[in-house]
Amino acid sequence: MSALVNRYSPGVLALATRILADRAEAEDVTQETFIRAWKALPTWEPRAKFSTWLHRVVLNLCYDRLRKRRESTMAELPEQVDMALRPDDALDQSERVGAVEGAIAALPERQAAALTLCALQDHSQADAAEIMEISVEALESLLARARRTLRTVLMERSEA
Amino acid sequence: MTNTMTDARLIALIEAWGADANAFPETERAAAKSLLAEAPDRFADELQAARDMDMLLGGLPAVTPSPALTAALMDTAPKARPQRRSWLAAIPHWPTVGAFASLAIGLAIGLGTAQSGTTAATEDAVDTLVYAALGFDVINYSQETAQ
Repeated sequence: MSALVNRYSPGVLALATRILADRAEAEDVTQETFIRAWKALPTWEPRAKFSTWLHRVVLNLCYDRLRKRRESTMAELPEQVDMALRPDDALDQSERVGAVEGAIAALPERQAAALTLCALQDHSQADAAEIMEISVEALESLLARARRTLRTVLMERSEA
Repeated sequence: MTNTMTDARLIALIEAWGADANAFPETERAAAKSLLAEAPDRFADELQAARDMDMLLGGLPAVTPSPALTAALMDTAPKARPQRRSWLAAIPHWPTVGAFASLAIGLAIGLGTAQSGTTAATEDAVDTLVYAALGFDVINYSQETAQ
């Protein structure tokens, strides 16, 4: 069990963190994901790779959380990150990281998921598409839109 | 798409997958690389923009679970139960035991079948033949024996 935790928890937590932009909530989702995994393991049938299945679970849990956030008018919005991208020499690394992370978190959830799986994690195109239950073509479309949006947002902020 | 690559398609690939052609879909990779090598200047702007974005994304720190989270995940994991030693486990070498058991059962069934298959009537007929061959009259012999 510790091998599974060590192997998969970083990817699961990273995906949840990028999509939810809330570390505490991402940790909750990670725990929930593994609890589901433990329950599923005894009757596990390898219709999909375990990694694919696990990432699909965490994605769906994140989508649920985001939907509940949207539905709840009383919910507090996560702290907005200053996405300003100033010239390189004026922007230290932590600010730059904060800006990019904030911009990713502001993306539509499926774009954030596609970008995280493909550009920030080592998932193959086929794996990422399978996790998201879409075609590689649809994945490509999400990625292109994500990168375009990210670039636009970061440039607008840097010009502001 | 495997052999032909248009400028528009290559730009779409760069915008989606980034500046590194090795990240492009495998079926289009060779054609894309070929077009890039053929006219690198034509795609310089797109490549630069993609490279900048790749660098920003690559500069994000890895998200790592805290020791507390790892411990919490392990706490929720099912614990391995101590294995109960079955009395069957005390019998060594199951294949050998099985082979001997099969042999014994086979012999028992075989012998039983052979004995029951030799009916009393068959035995009587054989006996009559043997006694006749030896010069005995079975009926008289039986009566004499009885007396």
